[in-house]
Amino acid sequence: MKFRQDKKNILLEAAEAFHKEVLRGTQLLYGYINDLIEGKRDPANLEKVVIAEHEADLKKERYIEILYKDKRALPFLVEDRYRLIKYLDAISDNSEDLARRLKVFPFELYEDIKDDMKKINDTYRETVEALVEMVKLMETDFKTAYQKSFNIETLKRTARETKYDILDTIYKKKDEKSLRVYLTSKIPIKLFDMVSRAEEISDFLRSLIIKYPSK
Amino acid sequence: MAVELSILLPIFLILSVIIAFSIGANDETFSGIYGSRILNMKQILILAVIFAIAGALILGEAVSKTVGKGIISDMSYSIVITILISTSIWLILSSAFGLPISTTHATIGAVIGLGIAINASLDWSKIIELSIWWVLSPIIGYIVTFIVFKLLQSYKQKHLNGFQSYEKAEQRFSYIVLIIICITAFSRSGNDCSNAVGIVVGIGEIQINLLLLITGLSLAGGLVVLGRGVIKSVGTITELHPSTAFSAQIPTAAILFLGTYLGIPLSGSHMLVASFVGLSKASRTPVRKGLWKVVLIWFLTFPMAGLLAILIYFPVAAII
Repeated sequence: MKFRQDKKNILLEAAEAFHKEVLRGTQLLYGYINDLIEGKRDPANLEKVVIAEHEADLKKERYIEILYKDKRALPFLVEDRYRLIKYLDAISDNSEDLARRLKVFPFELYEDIKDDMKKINDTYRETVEALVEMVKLMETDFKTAYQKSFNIETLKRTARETKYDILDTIYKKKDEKSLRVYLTSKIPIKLFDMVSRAEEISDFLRSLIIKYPSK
Repeated sequence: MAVELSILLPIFLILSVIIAFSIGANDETFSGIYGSRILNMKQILILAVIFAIAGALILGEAVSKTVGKGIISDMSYSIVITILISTSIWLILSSAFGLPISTTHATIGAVIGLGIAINASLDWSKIIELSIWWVLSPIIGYIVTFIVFKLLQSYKQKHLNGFQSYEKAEQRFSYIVLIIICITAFSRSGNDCSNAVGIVVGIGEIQINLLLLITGLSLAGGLVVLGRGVIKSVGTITELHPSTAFSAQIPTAAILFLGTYLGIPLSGSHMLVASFVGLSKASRTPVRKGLWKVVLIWFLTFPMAGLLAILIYFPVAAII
């Protein structure tokens, strides 16, 4: 019995380590974008995002390995957990992708979008944090996790509005270099995509909350 | 008489082996374990073999059956052997296609066919009674599983919260299902062996334990060679996991036990298949394609077993 408990703890610890790393990547990217807004760019910080993504990959592999080694009583739970790992990994990958994009981004941010950039960046961090929290809650408390999903939905709406506010400002800059306009617009779009992805994952989790009692 | 016995005994022994093999080949007891992935096929077959042999050795001795008793009067050896051979052939044929049938119904079909062919007096009221249960078995299985699943679902909604609690509950169900199915396999083996042993006991002097071991091994052989197809076919009728396998198999086993106690000839195979269909309806999960083949073989069992019995009886009667 103790042995089974230990095995369960190992799985939960592996999940926790993976979630932590996904969250760390997000927080590092969030920090870098804030620096970019304030005009203090340090490429070394972007490298940390890339490293965090690689670390998340390693933690993911370990989690998957334990997940499949462990003879769980619920095969569909293994499959659902695996899907969840894949989805969270996509967020981590997107963070890395944006980090790499920012590394080669040759311009400064426009002054008049900085407030909205800060807003969408805050929303991005908040959404990923809420999602990881929801994933953890799924283990023990469906009801609270379900409530959390509405919070994520609200965050997505905020992110969408902010993205279009930024784009509205940028696209009005007719006299600006088109390359600068194009590349700058990609940053809020990418941030929103990650928020949107997180909201899709929360939708998936909501479907699991509905599915389990009917199984 | 001594000469006759020395010829008859090996023939009856071979027949006993074939009968046990055919019964093992059509044994779907472990299908819920397979479908819910509590164990894989290899583990299931190991367990099935252990319980088949143990059941035969421990419980087989206590039971000795006369096949067809109560339906046909004047049961001679040639009649008994014909019934057993035709039932075995039909069981092996359907098992080869992975289709579960009721051994009892195949036997009764053979008895009726033979009774008509040799103009023996048949107890039609008994046949009608059996036919009624033949129709009622799947209906009972369907309804009971539907109700048990709904009750279980309501329990889950009230008491379970989060992956971990679901996992814990499913683990408990998997232990319960595993224990009960092992007990069922054990008692079923003892009971099934009596069908095979029954024809040899009384023919001549033979070590009963050796005979039970042979039939137990044959039963296990049938399970390993053809039974895996039947287990796979029944276990994948609908999506299963431990708690749903519990809601289908446990009430079925309980009702079957009650039926046996009250002398009601319910069919375990029919009940189980219908239970899985009831489960799919209750849980709104699809039923596997090709279920019509199972239903078709159920309808064919009566006439085919009867026809086989007619074809086999005359050569058998000429020899014995």
